[in-house]
Amino acid sequence: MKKNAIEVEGLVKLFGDSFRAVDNISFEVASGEIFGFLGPNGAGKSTTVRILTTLSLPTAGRVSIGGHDVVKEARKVRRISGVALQEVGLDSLMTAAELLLLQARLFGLSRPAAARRVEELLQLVQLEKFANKPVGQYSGGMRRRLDLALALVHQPEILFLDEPTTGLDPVSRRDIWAEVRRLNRELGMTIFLTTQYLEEADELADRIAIINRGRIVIEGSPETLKVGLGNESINISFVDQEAAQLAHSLLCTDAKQVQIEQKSVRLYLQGAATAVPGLISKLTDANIKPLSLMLTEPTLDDVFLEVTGEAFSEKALMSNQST
Amino acid sequence: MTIATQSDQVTSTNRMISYSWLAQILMMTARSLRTLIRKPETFVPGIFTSVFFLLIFNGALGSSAQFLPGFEGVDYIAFILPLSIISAALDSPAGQALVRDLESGYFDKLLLTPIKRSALVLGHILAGGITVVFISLVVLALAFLLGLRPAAGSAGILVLLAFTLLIGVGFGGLTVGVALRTGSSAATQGASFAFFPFVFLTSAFFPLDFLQGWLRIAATVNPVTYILDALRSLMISGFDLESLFFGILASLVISIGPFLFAVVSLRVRTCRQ
Repeated sequence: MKKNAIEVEGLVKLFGDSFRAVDNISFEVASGEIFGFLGPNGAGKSTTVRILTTLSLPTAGRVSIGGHDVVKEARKVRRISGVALQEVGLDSLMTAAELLLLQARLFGLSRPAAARRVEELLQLVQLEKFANKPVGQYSGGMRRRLDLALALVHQPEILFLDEPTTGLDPVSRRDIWAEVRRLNRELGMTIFLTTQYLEEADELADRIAIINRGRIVIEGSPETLKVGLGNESINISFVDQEAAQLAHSLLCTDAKQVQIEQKSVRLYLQGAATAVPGLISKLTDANIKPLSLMLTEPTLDDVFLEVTGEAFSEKALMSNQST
Repeated sequence: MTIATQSDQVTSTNRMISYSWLAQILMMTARSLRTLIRKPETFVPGIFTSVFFLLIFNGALGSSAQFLPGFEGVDYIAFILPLSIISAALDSPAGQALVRDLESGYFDKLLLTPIKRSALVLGHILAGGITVVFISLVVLALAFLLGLRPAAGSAGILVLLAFTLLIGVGFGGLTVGVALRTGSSAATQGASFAFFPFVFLTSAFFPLDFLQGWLRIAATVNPVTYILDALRSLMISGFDLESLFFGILASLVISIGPFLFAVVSLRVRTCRQ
């Protein structure tokens, strides 16, 4: 049996006397797994990462990383962890090569070994051409890639990525995703990733935990979560808002939940495909003509809505929901 | 694109060394110096202040000084040079360099490496000390051009630079401590103004014997007075062991406090919450 790379038990983090940033969470991450920690802004993701990476102490609970306690064996934890924090902390006056070299030497590589490692990593994150440019001149995507390289300098067993793609353009985001997958597949690296993007968690993680207001509300593989919810939906759009409103009042009893959003109506129900003919004839009878009709599988957005009663897209700054 | 393979991982892991504390400090000092050079605004104003003191006071008072009692036969440049040097020594850029690390978040990134906590600040403090010595060299070069002939010769110059390094490193702890406690560039800048009373409430422009009233009291208790006296004796009369002894003592007095303040502030800062 594989040992657990991360074990968190009853973790609590209080700020001040009363604000529970992290409120009694427990989870395990198996060695070699990509674990996604999904939640809106301010849910407690970064606080959790800071504790898991020894930057901050837990108020209560136990956290072990690779079998080492984060409170008592912080030094050992740092040896085996690679960390890329949400705010990319780089000295803008230094070049990528200098930052990587210093990092490698601080982790105990001899000068020649460090120099070799720098070359490898620059190649890995495709920054060879910019190796001697000050980081201040880098784009957001380049800084993230360099930050990832810095986290990998000492070949960690476990990689912590705190919102690795927040604020990146879609192309840079895809690059990071590809890299994360490759590190996991080729090196068997365990990856703990926080994100506020449903799509990202869905795309990358073997297993996810959804965190909201400091608590884990649900945990499982993205597929299980979506299937467990069992909600498919039908999205019907109309020529104008008026038609949509008519349709909404006509169909509001035909599904578990019916939402109206400008010119379209969304119905959540099981066995959506079989319900389509009935809905169409009902609309036709009332002389309302739908412009388009789309069947969608449940998304993590739906999962979030179901377990928290709040729409994820309203809480997240940006959502990649495809409606 | 290639990726490090499993076998690479084994070999480089085997080669991991645990660098000594001193080696880590040297790495961080080299890095701090490199970034200081790229941000000349951190040390150029210091050069201006020191050069300004030297030129203005020499120009304004240099000729009239000959008529003042106590200055007969004394070269005013030799008298004013130590002031210029000390003003440089009290203005280490270490605090500002550290604030940059705190603001950029690079400090946190370094905390995640196996580096000794003290090396994170000692690198900047030492680099600050070296910068201060460099500024002193610039000032000295100018003073030589203006006709400085130090009585204690080149050995005296070396002692003067040693003083500069000691004060630069020790007093540099003041701004570093403030930087660690506030993380604020403005507050750190503010702390460096502490240098004004230290420099001006002294025998800076006239020997202690000529000062009157409260200024005389302030100058008497101000350690910088004794440092100035020691350095002046080197420039004007040669090696005077008594004044050197008090000078070193005074340098330690103004160095140890700020340095300990930096050490304690580091502990407060890096104590995990």
